[in-house]
Amino acid sequence: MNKVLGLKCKECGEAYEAGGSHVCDLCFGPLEVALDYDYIKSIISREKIEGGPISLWRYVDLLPVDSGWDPNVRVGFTPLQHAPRLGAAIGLKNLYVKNDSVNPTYSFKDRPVAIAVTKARELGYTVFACASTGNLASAVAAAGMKAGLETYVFLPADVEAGKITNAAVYGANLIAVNGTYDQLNRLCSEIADEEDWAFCNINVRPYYAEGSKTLAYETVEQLGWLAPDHVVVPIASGALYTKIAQGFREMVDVGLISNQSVRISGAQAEGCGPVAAAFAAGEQSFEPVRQPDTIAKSLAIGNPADGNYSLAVARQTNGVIESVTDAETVEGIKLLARTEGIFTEAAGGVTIATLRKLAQSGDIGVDELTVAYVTGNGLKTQEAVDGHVSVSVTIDPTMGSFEDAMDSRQQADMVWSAPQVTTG
Amino acid sequence: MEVSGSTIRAILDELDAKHPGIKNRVLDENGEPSAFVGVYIGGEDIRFLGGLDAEVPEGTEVSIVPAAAGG
Repeated sequence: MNKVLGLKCKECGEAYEAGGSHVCDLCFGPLEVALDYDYIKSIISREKIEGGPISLWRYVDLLPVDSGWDPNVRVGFTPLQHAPRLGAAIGLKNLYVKNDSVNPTYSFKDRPVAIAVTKARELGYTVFACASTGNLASAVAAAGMKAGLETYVFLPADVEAGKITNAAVYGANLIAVNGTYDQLNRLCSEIADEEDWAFCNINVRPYYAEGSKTLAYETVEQLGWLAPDHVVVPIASGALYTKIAQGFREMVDVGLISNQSVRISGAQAEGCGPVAAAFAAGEQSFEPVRQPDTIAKSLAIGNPADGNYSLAVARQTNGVIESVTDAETVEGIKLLARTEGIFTEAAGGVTIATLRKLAQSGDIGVDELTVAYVTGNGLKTQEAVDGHVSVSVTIDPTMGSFEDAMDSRQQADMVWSAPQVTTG
Repeated sequence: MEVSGSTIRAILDELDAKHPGIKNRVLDENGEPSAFVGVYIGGEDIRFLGGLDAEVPEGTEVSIVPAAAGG
């Protein structure tokens, strides 16, 4: 018996062996991993998981690798933080933040990459690569170099300086491309055709994508083996969004929980919101955005591969896909930091701003057990809040100077920091 | 490979004559480019150039690439 049945076309259902391919020969549809849920059900249990490693590998029975992963790197099992102050600020009584910005390279991308690098070695590849909007770049560079693989990372030349540094430091071959993410993704698809490389988001994508499911598993386990009522997930390619939906379904499929009806809502930036636009228009398929224009560069995918699947997930789960402006995104970053002490990147600001919008519109019910996925770290995109936050006052190193500053603050009834948020 | 058509539609017909069946994989049931395939003229997505009737200038590279995922 084996937990992995093989690969299967998501469109026509054609079955394939579990090798390094991602496209159906018959219809060009995307391939995904097919798991044997009945078999997994017979070998998995809450107790087994709870006794496993403090990382995503505690769910290995649901992941498409058998062995060979690096136990020294702690990927996943990130905090699920109760967020009463943020909840009070936006009118939700039962809110949690899944803080996935504290993975080894500070974004959720370490999860899919952990699976991809393990599978790449298992399949015998010696070169590991990706096309990235920034976060995947550092995850692939770190994991590929640590695994001793020749590593190539392609990213748009205009991503945030911090994202470049965060990828370059690991010593991988870092190739900046003058163009949008969609353009460099096309280039990488052509390279993947010529070279026998393991491209995370291309030929080993079926395995890579499975890593993101673990965000759903962890949420359920950390809530005490309970599925939330509603989650808010950022949408770039839509892979994370659709895989989180799959993760919740699988928890029931393998008998870890008896039921779930999680509403899965999505967050996009207005300057690159093809899926949100299609959702609002009631369309089944999105129109690509040619030139994304948003500070949330990690969400700047104009042609999201899983965009149409995301629309289907939103409708099936009674979720909503909404978009927010750059100004709302900056407010979202500040709000999360000031209420819950978590500094997230621009994409996290999009998620929090969308969460607020959906709470205010009533799309998220006041009492719904809601989880917002914060998937990247603010230290990577500090330019997002440049000019929006600063020191309160600059003084000389004397008590006199300090007292003057405090006096002038009182006299002017000036508030240095953000208004206090009262908890409900 | 070299082709002579001056629109994507003509090129796909030409391609299909040489490799029967390819057209039906690139196009969906409505005869539009499949959501899972990108067709590019000189690197530009044909969905921004008028779709299948987009003109292909002499000497331009056309690529047909399966959609890739995000990062």
